[in-house]
Amino acid sequence: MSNSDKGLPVIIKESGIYQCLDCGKCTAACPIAETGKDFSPRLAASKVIEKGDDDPYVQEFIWACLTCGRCDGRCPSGVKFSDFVRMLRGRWIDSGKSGIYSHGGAMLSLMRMMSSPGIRQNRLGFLPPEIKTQSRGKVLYFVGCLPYFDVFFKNLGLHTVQIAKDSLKILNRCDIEPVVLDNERCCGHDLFWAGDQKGFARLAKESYEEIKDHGVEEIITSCPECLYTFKEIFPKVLPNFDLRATHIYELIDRRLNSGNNSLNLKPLPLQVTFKDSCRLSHYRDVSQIFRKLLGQIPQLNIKETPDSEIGNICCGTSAWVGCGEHSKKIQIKRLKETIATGSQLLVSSCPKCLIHLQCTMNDFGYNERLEIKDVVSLFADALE
Amino acid sequence: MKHKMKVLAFLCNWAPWSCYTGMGDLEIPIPGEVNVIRVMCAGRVNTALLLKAFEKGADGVLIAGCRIDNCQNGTGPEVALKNIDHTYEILNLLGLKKERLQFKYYLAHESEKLSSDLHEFVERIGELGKSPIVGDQGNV
Repeated sequence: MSNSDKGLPVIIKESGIYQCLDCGKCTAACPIAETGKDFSPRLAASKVIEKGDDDPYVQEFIWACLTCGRCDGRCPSGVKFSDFVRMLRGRWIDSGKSGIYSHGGAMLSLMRMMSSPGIRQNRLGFLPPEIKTQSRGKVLYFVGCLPYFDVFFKNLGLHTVQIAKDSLKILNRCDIEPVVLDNERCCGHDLFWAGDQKGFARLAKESYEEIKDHGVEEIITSCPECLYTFKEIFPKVLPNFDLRATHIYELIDRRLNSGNNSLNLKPLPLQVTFKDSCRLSHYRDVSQIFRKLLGQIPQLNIKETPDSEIGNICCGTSAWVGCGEHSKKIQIKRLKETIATGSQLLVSSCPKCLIHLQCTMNDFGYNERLEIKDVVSLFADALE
Repeated sequence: MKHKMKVLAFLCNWAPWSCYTGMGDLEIPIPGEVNVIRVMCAGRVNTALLLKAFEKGADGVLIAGCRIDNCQNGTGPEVALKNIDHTYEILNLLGLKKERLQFKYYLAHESEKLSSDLHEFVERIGELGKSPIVGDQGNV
């Protein structure tokens, strides 16, 4: 299904734009508008209805939107603004124009390359020898982009594969020896949100077949975007999609509730602050679970920012689209509000939040320092 | 039938481009597999452009820059080499052989050297075979 087949009237109808009441809650909720940019979802929507998507305001709007979904959540009439933006991006690139991507579109290039059937990656070089995995089985641990992030963003000095190592360590502790694929293909979340529907459909098909070939029934992931993609988008694109997606927090929670003592926790005398992620905010139960899990670590002092859970979901850019001045402002705001809580450690559930916030901290002239870590890694630190 | 290889050559505007025009003056043939892109400096060719070339189905990519002591911009070749090293690591993860990406230095009069390097590179890529990546799948 390509977006160019969809005329503007279909896009407007599918995203429910006609239900807009002009109340302006979308702009009030928008993290970009908050930084001072002239950015109004309802204005863009009415311009599309009035003049179509050739309007300069609309063109700037669709590549500046972060698709974080805060406006969707706040809209009283249920308008799906982020879907609207995604479909307009699709129309844009289907017409042969290039989108406005960060990092020169390199991350999206990687995803398109992974949709080639003949590709044979070797992405498991990071796997420590003590981790037990299988080549076939019912449970898969989906590593995601982490090995690529560590190489591409080498200059940031982050080690995001540590998230995968810690997740696998926890799974092994839970007596699960998951399948890990050397030729795992990306979930395609960013391709989908950057508007490349054809590319996503190709990638999803290859990815699904690769996973199915290993006898997998359940996918466990530590990434909010992979979870969202497998739960919400794959079933729409692949009618026969029959895999269950579970976040590792849910699995740990189940294990702790069943009274299993393989996950004994030692005290961590630290003060931490959470940074919620946009894609996990679609699953409030999962974000509640990680709060509960970390709450069980003795001596760990959790101090939330005033706008936690819904207000702080944005790390400034998403889907490798349009990183700029306003993204930086959002990132600085996130760092400032965390530092104001007095915490030394910022904990997020999404590797991209870590990348974006670390990038801002590495900027010339930014002197505040804060340690940042993934929720899984913090939990693994507390394991006895 | 042997598939025709797709080789992309990024030529810096200064010495390599002068070698390239020199090839025309001297009537030295250019291998048919090579597509040339003129850039203002070899250092401009960053990881994203290199990945895009492979994404679009290039079987081999050659970057031709000026000699280190001869760069118009000062650090072009050094930057290019740094970008190439960065790209090698990504190609390794993707399972693409690093021989598919190469950097060469030129002085402005070295048309024969450019010609023989291009022929040699095309031959080497021919031995490696087609890239496993299906290029030109549509969207930009």
